[in-house]
Amino acid sequence: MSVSQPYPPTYPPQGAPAPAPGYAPQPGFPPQSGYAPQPGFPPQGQTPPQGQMPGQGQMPGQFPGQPPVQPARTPGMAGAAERPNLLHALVSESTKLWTTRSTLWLLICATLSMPVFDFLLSSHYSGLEEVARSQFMSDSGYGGIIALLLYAPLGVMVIAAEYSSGMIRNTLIACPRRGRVLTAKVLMLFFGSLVTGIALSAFSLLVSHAILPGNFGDSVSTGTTIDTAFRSGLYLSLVTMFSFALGTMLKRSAPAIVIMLGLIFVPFVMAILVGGNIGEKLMNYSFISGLLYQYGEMVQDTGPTATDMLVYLGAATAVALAGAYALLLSRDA
Amino acid sequence: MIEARGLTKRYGAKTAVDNLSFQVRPGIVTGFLGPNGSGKSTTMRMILGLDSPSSGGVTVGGQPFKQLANPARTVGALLDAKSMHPGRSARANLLSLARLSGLPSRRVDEVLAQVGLQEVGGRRAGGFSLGMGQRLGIAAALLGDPQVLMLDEPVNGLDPEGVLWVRQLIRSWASEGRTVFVSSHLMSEMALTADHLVIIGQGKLLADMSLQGFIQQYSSGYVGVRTPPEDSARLVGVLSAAGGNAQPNPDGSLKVTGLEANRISELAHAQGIRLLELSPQQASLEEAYMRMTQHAVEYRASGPGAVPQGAGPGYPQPGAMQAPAGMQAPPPMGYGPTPGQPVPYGQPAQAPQAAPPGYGFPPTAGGPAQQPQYQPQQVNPYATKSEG
Repeated sequence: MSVSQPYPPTYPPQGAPAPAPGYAPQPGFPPQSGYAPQPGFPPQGQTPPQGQMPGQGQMPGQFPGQPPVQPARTPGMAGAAERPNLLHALVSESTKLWTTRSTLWLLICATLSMPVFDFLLSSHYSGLEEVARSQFMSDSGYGGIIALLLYAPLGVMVIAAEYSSGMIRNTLIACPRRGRVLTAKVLMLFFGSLVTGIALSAFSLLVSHAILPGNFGDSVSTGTTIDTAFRSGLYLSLVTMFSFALGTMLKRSAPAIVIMLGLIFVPFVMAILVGGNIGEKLMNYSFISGLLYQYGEMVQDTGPTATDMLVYLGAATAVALAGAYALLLSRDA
Repeated sequence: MIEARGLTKRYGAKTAVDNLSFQVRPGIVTGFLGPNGSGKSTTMRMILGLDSPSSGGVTVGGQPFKQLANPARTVGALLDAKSMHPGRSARANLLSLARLSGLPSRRVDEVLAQVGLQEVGGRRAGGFSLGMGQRLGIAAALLGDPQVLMLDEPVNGLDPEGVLWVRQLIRSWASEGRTVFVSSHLMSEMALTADHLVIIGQGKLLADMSLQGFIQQYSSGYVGVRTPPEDSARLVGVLSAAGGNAQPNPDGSLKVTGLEANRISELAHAQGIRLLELSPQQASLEEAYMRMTQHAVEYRASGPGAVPQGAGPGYPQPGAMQAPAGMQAPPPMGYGPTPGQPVPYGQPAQAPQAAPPGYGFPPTAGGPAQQPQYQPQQVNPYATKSEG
């Protein structure tokens, strides 16, 4: 039993063996059958009578200095002396992720919206006589922008919901090692968004390809398609992590989401409005362009490559996460 | 066992918690009182490692909370209700906490049953009423079957049954030798549950003493004495000479402070004064608390001399009856850094609050540690009057 035991040995042992069947866990608190707890008076007479004198430090029938009559601990605690570690935090975070409705709705929305968007775009092209064989790639990429707009808020919400609900306090009381909590969230969110991002991108590419076979131009190899799905999934995942770091630093969902959407849209829109050299730079390095590069779209000879954008985004995410760790560890929760 | 030493928290120029030192001992219920904004929550958050102190420190079971190997097994805390994810079910909220603490998932069902929420465990926590949210928060505190229970306003929003249940829970927790630290603004509730009080105001320690001692020291407890009118003046003289303070009431009776009823009777008897009435009156915790708070306000407004009339030491214990005259002078309040505690007059030297650091759970049967706590019950004939 690895429980730290800072109390004197007279303290009843923790993790007591499970008692005999039918044993009530705590005499004072029999398991109740209804919502309203039955404050019924247990047979041991441990219930303080109404009007008990203040300052009377003990239950009736108990005398000063007498070692308390110790019922065996709740049976559910038997063998529960496991010292919590990162694995527990990871399991906890996965529980949180999958029991939160917003996560599920987000995945449902993403799963539906990407193919639907593909379908709408593709049906526009499918009326044409000639459709490029690579057209499905760019259609998928546009669908990916939708996913981008869903994953960015997800990253913010995973942490900001903890702050707005106050759950963060319960979390940090259950696990005061804050680095572990954040690491569990980072790992869970990164791999969760990576796997779903890749799956969604692949699904989207598949749907687009089924709608738009194409009849001219270079055909896209299966390897390139799979590569695109992985790149797109990784890009979505990194954006999620970046917004997660932003949410951790700001603690609040609304400002973090606004900033995130601003980062996604403003450079892109400004690029179109401003034009010229600055506009080109803005366009080349915007979040949206970065995603489209992964689909082989819009890549300029002079601008960054798809891999460059993944590296830049990865670096920015790493910096943001470092800031998130520093703030979480030093700040009052 | 919670031990704070010189705990201080500053926010910029404002000092929220100022050099707090106190101990919360196992086996009894310790109440944590203070007006709004006095730093109670900040103190609790510092104990739980949520806020880091500007200086000083606090340990739980001998270690800072953040260094506990298995915090959920050591400390369970309810800070505020509704600190659960509203979109998640009650069960899922508890499950995520149980997982984080390395507790088996069956504990979730156990605590849900314990707080009476097992039938609504699948409902969204956001849809819970205040009382249900409170129960859920208590369930979270109980998850790890902890040795130390910290509850901030636990009966907030609970129905009468729930209040009774929380009271029983707290008392049984303490009777099992565990540590209970509970804050509340409900004085009547505190009077029923707490054995010991830690009271702060403006972030400073005002009192750290037994509930009984606190009421005695800070309430306007007095003995009502009625004598034939012709003896009244003589009795006042006798009582004053014995160290008491007698003031005439409009109806001709006397309000005596600083002397116990037994003693008054003895003195009167020795002088041949006939007593028509001798009735000890003791105030409630609420009155004592209000008096102390009022004192704090007056202290701020008009200096240390502004002690409310009658805030005398109340009834000294019989063993301390030979205390020097002048003991009816109001005791100095514990403002500022209070290395010791404002120990009430006549507290035995081995009183719990004078225990050395490292004082733990009373080891064996007949251990002396808890004895002083109950002495007033055995020897003070007025204790039964003190019901809150």
